[in-house]
Amino acid sequence: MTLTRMDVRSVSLVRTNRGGATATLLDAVDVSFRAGAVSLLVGPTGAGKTTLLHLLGGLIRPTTGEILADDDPVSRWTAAHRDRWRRQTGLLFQRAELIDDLSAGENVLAPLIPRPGTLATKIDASRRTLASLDAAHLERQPVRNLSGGERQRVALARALVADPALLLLDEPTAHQDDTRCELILDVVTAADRRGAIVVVASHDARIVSSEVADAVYALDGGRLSPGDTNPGHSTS
Amino acid sequence: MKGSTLHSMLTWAMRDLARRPGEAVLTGLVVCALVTVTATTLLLVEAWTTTATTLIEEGPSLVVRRVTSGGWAPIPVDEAVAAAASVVGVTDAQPRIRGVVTAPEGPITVMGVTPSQAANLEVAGITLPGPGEIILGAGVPASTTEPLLELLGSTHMKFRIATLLDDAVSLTLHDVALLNVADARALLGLAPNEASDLAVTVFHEAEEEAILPDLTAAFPFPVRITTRGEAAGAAVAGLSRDGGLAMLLLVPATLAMILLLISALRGWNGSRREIGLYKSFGWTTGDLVRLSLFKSLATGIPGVLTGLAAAWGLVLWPGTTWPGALLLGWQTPPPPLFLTPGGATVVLLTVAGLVLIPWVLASMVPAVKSALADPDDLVRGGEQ
Repeated sequence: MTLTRMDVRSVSLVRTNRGGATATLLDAVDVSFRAGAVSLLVGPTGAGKTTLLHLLGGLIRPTTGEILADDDPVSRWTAAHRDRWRRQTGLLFQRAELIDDLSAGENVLAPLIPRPGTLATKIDASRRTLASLDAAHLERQPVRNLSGGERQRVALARALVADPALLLLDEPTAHQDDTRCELILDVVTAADRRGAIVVVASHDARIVSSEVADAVYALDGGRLSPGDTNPGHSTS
Repeated sequence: MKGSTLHSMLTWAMRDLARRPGEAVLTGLVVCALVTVTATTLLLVEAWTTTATTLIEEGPSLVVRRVTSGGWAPIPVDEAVAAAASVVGVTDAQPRIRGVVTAPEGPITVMGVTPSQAANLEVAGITLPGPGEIILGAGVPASTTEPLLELLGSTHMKFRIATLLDDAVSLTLHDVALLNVADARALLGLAPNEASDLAVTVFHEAEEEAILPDLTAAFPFPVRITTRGEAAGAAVAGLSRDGGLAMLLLVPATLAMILLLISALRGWNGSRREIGLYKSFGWTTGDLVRLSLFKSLATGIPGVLTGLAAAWGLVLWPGTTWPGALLLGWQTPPPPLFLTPGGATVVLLTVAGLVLIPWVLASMVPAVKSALADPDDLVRGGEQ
């Protein structure tokens, strides 16, 4: 499975809470993400970064507008089609969202279970991915016993394990020391080099100041504006 | 789904169950208990119906008893046999000396061994009871530790217990005590040329009903004739009454089943977050349904099989008598029960279906309900 382009067209997302009050989480966002490029979303808490990542990953549908994957209107597809399409994506949640009573290895293995291949090859893939994030030693440990940084690396391994064509990372360097931060940036760069579309949402100054991003977008109050954009990358 | 993916999914289902081993084992035990209670009741009724029907089919076509204004009366043997033999369609008529007398442990049926019966018993290897001797069937309620058994019929008589019959010898003698014919007549107050009733065999089963008017008219005294069909009907009617009471036990079983299903359905609230996570990394609704199916079958099938095996043993294992006493009120050990393959299959499939199918379907509901939900809502909803 390959993807060359993800387009977000005039996407808005409005949520209504139990009291009937509405909140606009994203407001008429237009942006394109291309394969082989790392895009960085920056902005204050509540700006809509996580929401945009979840929209791109097909976890929610926009209230208006549409998400296109290589011109296919993914956001309009039925739930069943989006379920299958989601196999092309790897999503790192902001709060890791691991299954606490499974081991780290099992959490990383979980996305591979319904996919083709033998169990042995799937286990090998999950071990390799953990090792690439300096987390091989965590394989058999229940994730409930792990530190915040370890949990985040295990969750990142889970997002990466199936070599997704669309990699969506929400605060990937949270709780990481500088060494691990560099390791994670290397992994992100590797995904970029193999042709994945990589979108990273982060507050982390180490990422913002790094050269990993090909383009930087700023979100504030649900509205997207171009930030510091590297040459060759553009917002629409 | 390819074999390798199926293997992965099965392994994952087992691992998922192992996350909460106590819950999985407890669920299996509940399913097992439900199946045991339900299947024991249904199997017992089915087995007893089959056994009683077989016993009745082995008996005579018709039983003729003399009636008077005061009730049953002894039947004069020569006169009755001649009258029955005069009816076209009757192939055999045998006088029977039998009746119910009082023993220390309760009422028992005694039967005098007539010459025609003696031949059959000797073929079966049973030594005939001599004067003053008694042979007890396996289901006769009598203490065998005492050397003598005192019976009260028309008179008091004491008998030496000569033999205890094995059910394997003859099912029809399960709850009967055999006596020398002269002793039986004396105990039951019959004269030497009198019998309790007359067992009549007709040429064809279909003639049992048709021959009744001619047979009734052939006797020079009033008679009451019981057909095999009436005997079967009486047995079934008794079973329906007792079985109906036994079915009351199914009420708590049904309630337990409902609780189990509610528990499976309410599992949705606890599993929303995980279902959302699975969907977020590419599991389809079909994958989640398969996972639920494998998990519920992994707990349900062993539970059902163990429950069916337990029910089978409780009903059909030789010497196990308490289920009959508890469910059907039997006060004496029943004869060895047996089932026809067709009847047993229907009962077993019914019970397995009644318990396993709702359980499996209820377990799959959370996955099915997720089909239209957005994973983000499931993950966030599960945290609330």
